[in-house]
This record gives sequence, C-alpha cells and structure tokens, in this order.
Amino acid sequence: MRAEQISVFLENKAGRLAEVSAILAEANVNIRALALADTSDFGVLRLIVNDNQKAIEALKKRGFTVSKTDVVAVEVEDRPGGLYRILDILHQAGINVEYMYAFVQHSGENAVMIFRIDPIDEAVKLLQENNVTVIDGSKVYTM
Amino acid sequence: MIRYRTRDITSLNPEPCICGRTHIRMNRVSGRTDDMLIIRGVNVFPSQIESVLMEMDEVEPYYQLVVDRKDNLDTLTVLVEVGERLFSDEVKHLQKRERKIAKNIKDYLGVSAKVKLVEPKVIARSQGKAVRVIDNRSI
Repeated sequence: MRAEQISVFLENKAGRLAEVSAILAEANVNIRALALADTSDFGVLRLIVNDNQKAIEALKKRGFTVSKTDVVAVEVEDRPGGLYRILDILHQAGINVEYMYAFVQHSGENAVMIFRIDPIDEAVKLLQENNVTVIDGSKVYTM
Repeated sequence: MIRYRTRDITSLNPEPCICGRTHIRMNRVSGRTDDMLIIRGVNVFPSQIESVLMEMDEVEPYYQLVVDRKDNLDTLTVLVEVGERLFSDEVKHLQKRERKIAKNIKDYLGVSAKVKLVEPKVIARSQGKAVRVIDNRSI
C-alpha cells in the first residue's frame, strides 16, 4: 500500500529545475505530482512519476543525486474538512507528517494527497481502519 | 637527505622502523606552509579540513574552500558535494548534516565555517593537483 517517490537534490539557482524537467522529458517520463522544499542554498525536489526506474536512471546519468522514498497516497474527500479528517486521525495517534502534497488527478470524487509519514506501516493500517482509502503505488503511477 | 626550505610541513619520527632501520624518519607531508590560509587570525591548512571531512563516512572526498572578506571579516565557506550517502528527502536531515560538518570543523580547527551543500560534479575534478582553495580576498 505504498507508493514510491523519487527525491532529487538541487542547488537553489536558476535553471536547475528546468534541467531536471528537460531530462525527464527526454526520457519520456511523465510527472504525476511534485513538491519542492527549498532553503536559501538548496532544495529537494520530490516527484511521483509514471516510471521510477527510467527517471532515476536518466537523472543519475546526468549527475544528479537521487533517492527513493516510500510514501502513502491517500484519497481525501473533496469538501471542507476532508483533509482535517485524515490529519486528525494521524494526530490522535501521535503520528507526525513530515511533508505532504497534492496530486493533480482526482480519484473518482476524491482528491489524492501524498503523505510522507513515519512509521509508514502503522499509519497505513490506522488510516484503513478508519475507512480512509489508501491507493496502491501501481495505481498511483498510471492514474 | 637534505631538505632546505621546501616549505613542506611534516614531523620527524625517531622510532626505529619495523624494517630494522634506526635512523630518524620523516612522516608523511601533511601540507605546505604556502597552502596555509589565515582566517580571522587562525591558521588553517586545507589538509586539516580534508581530514575532518574524510572522517565522516557520508561525505564525498570532493570539497572546495572559498575565502571571502565581508565587512572586514574573513569568511570561510566549505563546499561539500551531496552524494547518495549524504542525501535525504527531508530538508531537516540535510540541514542537520550541514550543521554537523560545520561543528566538526569548528571543534577541530577553532574556526567557524559556513558549509554549503552542492550538487555532485560541481567541484571540478582535476587531474593531478586539485584546486581546493578559492581566495577572493583582496588585501
């Protein structure tokens, strides 16, 4: 019930993001969702793509530092309070969300959000017990 | 052996060699006096910073020192490449590692340095003598 995300180290200067997107375009990789964390000197780009292996190979070949991380894709009701419901479940259990970002595509009526949480297995179990839909990785990449 | 003002920095080792020779020996050359930087009055040898970095497993052996002068104060910036072992998807971990490198340099050399994480291959790979120091001070 996990999805794989790739993270790329970038210096915080002009043209770095453009180069990453050019490399992915050349490798014919489609970006499904992304988030960028930045500091004054560097940033970490997190991506959900349709083909992890191809993306990692292409980026590594061009000298980028890339890593894979397990994240959870969760269906969030597309109405006021939808996100709160999920965060509240995690909060009640004392689970911290490292970061999260939204997916472009809807899953039926619902929005999809990517969560980076630790411990991941416990969080997935907890969400499922509370009738929250956790989307499997294989489905996320092709949604 | 005669060495006369070569400006090599080394130390003498009076212990007999395991091969049986009892003559005084010279240890490895750790640097040269003309490599030395003076940063806010503290003598800094690039080789000292190198050994601090090499002691940390997650740090790649590529680094560069940039010395500047801002408001009449010397500043030392250490550029460190982020390889797979240093990288994390969480910014707080990267910043923690940055601080740890800076702390180790401060503890070992007594000079505070700013550590800047850079992308791999940003620091030029040179054949032979590497350009480790960029001194932008105009005095």
